[in-house]
Amino acid sequence: MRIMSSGFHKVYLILIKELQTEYRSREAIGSLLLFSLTTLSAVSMTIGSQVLSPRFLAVLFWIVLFFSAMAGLSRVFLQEQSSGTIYTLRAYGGAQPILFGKFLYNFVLLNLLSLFLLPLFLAFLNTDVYHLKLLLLVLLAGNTGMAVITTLLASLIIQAQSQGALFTIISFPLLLPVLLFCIQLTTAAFTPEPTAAMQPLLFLFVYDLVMLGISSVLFDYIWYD
Amino acid sequence: MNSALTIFTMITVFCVFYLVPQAQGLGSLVRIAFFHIPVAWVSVLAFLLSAWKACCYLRNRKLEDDVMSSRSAGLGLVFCLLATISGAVFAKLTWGSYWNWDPRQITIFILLLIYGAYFALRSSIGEAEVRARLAAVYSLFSCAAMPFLVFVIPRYYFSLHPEPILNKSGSLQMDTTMLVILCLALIDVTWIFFKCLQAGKAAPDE
Amino acid sequence: MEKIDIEFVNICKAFGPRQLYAALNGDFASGSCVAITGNNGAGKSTLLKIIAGMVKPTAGTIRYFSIAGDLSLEKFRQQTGFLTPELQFYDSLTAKENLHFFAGISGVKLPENQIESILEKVELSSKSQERLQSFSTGMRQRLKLALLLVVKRSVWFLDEPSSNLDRSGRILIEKAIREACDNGQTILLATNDAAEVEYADHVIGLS
Repeated sequence: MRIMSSGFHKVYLILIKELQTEYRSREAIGSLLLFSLTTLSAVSMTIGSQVLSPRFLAVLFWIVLFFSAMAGLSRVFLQEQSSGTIYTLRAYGGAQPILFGKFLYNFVLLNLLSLFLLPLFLAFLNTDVYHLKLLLLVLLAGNTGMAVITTLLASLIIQAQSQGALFTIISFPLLLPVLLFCIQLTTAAFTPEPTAAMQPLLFLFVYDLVMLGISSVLFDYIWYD
Repeated sequence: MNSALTIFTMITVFCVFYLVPQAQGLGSLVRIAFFHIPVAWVSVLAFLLSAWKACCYLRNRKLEDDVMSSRSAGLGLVFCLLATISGAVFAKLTWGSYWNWDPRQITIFILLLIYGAYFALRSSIGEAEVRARLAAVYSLFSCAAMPFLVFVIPRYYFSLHPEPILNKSGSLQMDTTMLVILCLALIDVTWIFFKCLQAGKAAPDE
Repeated sequence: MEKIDIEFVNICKAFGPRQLYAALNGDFASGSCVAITGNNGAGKSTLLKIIAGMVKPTAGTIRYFSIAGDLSLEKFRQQTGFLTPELQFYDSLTAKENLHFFAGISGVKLPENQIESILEKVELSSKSQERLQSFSTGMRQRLKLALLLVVKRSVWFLDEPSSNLDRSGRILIEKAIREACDNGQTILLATNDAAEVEYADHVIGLS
């Protein structure tokens, strides 16, 4: 008797497969971490012991995160294309589990990157965090938004030329709301005064949800001819 | 129809230059607004039309819808550039600097980026049907992000960072005459947009 | 597994200025094996993909019928199995892991013993724990067959299934096709190989 797997199980399988293949090759996470470390070091070295305003620090943090994302998150589909496994995925996998599985994987990658980057950032640039809970929430929400958008757009450029530059060009306008709100909220987290920063956080969550919903609707059109 | 449009345009231009009274504090410079606002409005309209045609394409898979979508976006890009430049000129002449990242400027800039990204995507895909499908998806995806980009960011991002608040062009004080002429200008530019859209249709496709 | 009939009418496909076919028609019942033959570039693989719903034709319609009536494209996609040259597996995963993954996302949960028995059937059990990196093309082909057998789909789309296979591999393919036909599965086979054409009841020749 055949046991059928549910949608959730398929998403789980895809996530596990991504993590497993990544663990065995460590390409994506390696490039993400190295990229962010290099950028952060360059900034820190040039800044020296200068004290930066919370806003400037927030901007720097999210710029490093954003460019690392651009460097590493498109692999989730582009690697399938280059290795040929995308045909097998198309043949046997359904569109939605693939989208959600890969989105979750990008989300995990971004969180790992944040876990790596944040302590180093705080140390190198001598930053104080006054509202840690807020910062962590912002990171989660920001990473969700970045993961959703980059996953969908990565699938869009599978069949395109000059994929590297194109990925950044098409992602930037749509990531802008995420970036702007995250920078604003992170500034608040780096500032000692108590903040009523709930509204931007709410908008961020709503944006993430909307983008997730739209991705789900549109992905079928990308995945199937 | 061309002659009717030309006459209407001439009337509008006449109104803008001769009938519009001097605005308080801005003087004759307010006339730029009568170019800038309609042109900005049309660039948004073009975007929405492009997204609508993209939706039609995804449903019916008729390449004409994609051609229309792309053409509308092309015109939209032109109008968006005009809006950005005219806005910057207006800002310079009125407040002394070309670019302040005030809400309107943020919106128009993001729209410009989206148009640019749309065409970058289109030009990097060879096959017509694949290009049509993927460009349509991007068009709709960015359309979903629009409400946030146009309404939420300018209001909430900007308002929490009070810079010396310069007069946003949206809050120009306008009396009835100016409003009427503004509507005239709006209709005129919208008409021009649709005329260009149709004219492109008649011309042979590349 | 359902019994599925396929009918296509006036299929045309053009890639820009290059037209592949003008008006193809065909009609097969479940349990039949249809070979699509033609020279290189005639469009055999493309026709296969069109019928499978992977590529949209420029014109024409395709209909799928089960006992219950018309089948939508979405439902049909859940019933298709493939063995084509473009399919690839993950090099960093083992044969078992690959099978488990692809069967899983196709909707089938495989218990350990089933995976082992299918690998035995395609004569890959000694390599089951090795990563795909070390597999030859013939071994990969066998793994593709294993996957096809394991997902138990009603309609098979095969594109030169015996390529890269030695004699025992070819026998496996032949056996699998014959058993599938007896089972009521519908098989479409794109090939230039005379021996493979022999497996089919009907032939569509593309020029």
